[in-house]
Amino acid sequence: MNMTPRLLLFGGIIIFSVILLIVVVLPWSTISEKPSDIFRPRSALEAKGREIYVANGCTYCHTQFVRNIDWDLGAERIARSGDYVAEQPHLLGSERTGPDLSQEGGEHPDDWHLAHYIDPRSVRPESIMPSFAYLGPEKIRALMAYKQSLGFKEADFRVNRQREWKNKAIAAYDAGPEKNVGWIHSMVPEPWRALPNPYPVTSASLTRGHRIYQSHCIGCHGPIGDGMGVAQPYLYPPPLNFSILRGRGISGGTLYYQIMNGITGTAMPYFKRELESEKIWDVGSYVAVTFIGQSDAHEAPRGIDAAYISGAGGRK
Amino acid sequence: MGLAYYVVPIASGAPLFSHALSLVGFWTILMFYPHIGTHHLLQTPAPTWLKMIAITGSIGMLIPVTTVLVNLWLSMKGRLGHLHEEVGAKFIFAGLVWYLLVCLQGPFQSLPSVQRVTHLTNWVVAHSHIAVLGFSGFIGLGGMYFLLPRITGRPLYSRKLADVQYWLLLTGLTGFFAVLTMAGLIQGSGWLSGNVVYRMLPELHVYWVWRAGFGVLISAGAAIGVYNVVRSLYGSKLGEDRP
Repeated sequence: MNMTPRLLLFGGIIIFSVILLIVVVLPWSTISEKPSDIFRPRSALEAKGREIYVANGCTYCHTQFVRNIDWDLGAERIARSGDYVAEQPHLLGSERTGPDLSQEGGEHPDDWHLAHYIDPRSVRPESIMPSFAYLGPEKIRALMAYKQSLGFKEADFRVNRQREWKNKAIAAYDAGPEKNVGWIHSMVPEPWRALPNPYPVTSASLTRGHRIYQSHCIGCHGPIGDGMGVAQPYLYPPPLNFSILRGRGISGGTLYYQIMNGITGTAMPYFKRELESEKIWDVGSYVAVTFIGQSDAHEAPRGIDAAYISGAGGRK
Repeated sequence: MGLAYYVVPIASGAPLFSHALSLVGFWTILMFYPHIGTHHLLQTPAPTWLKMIAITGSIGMLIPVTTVLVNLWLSMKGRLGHLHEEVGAKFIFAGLVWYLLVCLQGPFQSLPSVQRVTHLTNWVVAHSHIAVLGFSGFIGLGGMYFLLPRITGRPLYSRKLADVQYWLLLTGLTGFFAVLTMAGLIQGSGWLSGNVVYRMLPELHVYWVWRAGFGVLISAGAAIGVYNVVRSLYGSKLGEDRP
């Protein structure tokens, strides 16, 4: 076989036509642009925020599609094609160095986002995201509007819920420590409030709890648990000073519930996606022993002890 | 690939093993390669038929790759020492080894079951670096070192510097590939077992420090290469007396 100009020309045309058909014509003619149930158009400010998102390369680290194998942010809603009808260019992304953001809207209140843009490590101590303080307040406002719109109608629902609970949380905070603790307490279901931490405090559990505290809590609640972490100036209501919990009947179950579930409306996120049982009990013990100075760990009522607990070194 | 086809027979002093085989490679790469882009979107809500075409095309790439490499291997077999005397051909040989690696890895990682772990991780970054810098970069550099003296009539300024560049790039890229592959597997299996992206970050730190280190080797190699080429371009021609 020889590579004649004739063969090159006709062979080239044939292959090019087939490729054109499969890669361009078929997708173009069969594409469906039907919006999904959650879709809504973006406001002018959200569209501007999206441009800033593109211009700053956010998509190099953050994807915008949730897969059926994901456990992280947004895992409640797997991506559907109808979510992407207004995406020009699409921001699916090809690498995850930060979490997927396709359903980020309403996961956090605005003040958390402000702290996070200006100093990411203030709210996420082990984050490697660069600071975006240089964008200035106008652009950050637009970016935040875009971020809070991710997830469309479901994001709107979550953002409204954040605002609603923020007002109540602020009212409670402004009413003073006694009422604030009472309000926070009343938001925890009764069975959790009555539940002591079932596991004894050991030096090993405190060490593990300390590690979790440093990677997840220290930015807001501070190294001594007084709520004066580096994120404090941005957040209102401000992070809780744990010492005000002393003598106010905070159970291990209450701490566990608040860490697991977060306090929607405040900057306190839920940690149930990133910390599992052992880590939540351990960091709860750490906070109780180190900052509150009171712990109900391993007190009655409790069930049969877990097999690892030893009588000698295990009890406090 | 055209550069490799041009340089390998000249540098090894033997004719191309088979012209027909090279044509099989030429036409099949044309057929398969344009379809495979959707393998980056297997886990997105893109149409399933497009994904199937992409996976088929990705696996089909084994045909052109095998024909090209078998063809060139049979052309240079037994003459590797001769081939490596020419520094340009030396780079091209390394580029072909990278090509073998990247093209065995590519079809493998286009499979959905593999992507459950590797997709969106540093594994893919490692893969694209051995494609661009390993395959295209090494062959491009080799072609440049091979052709430059023949076009300009000026000899290479320093063979030794070119060898230093070769080893800096080879060490840098091999290390780069290794640490990113490890980081990718750690990320991917962490995510799959339920750890969130944030929790996996501290696990990756050490690999990214190594990545930066290997990146320095690659950049140093590039700087040495630029110096070598510039000195060659402004050096004296063959047969002229050096001032």
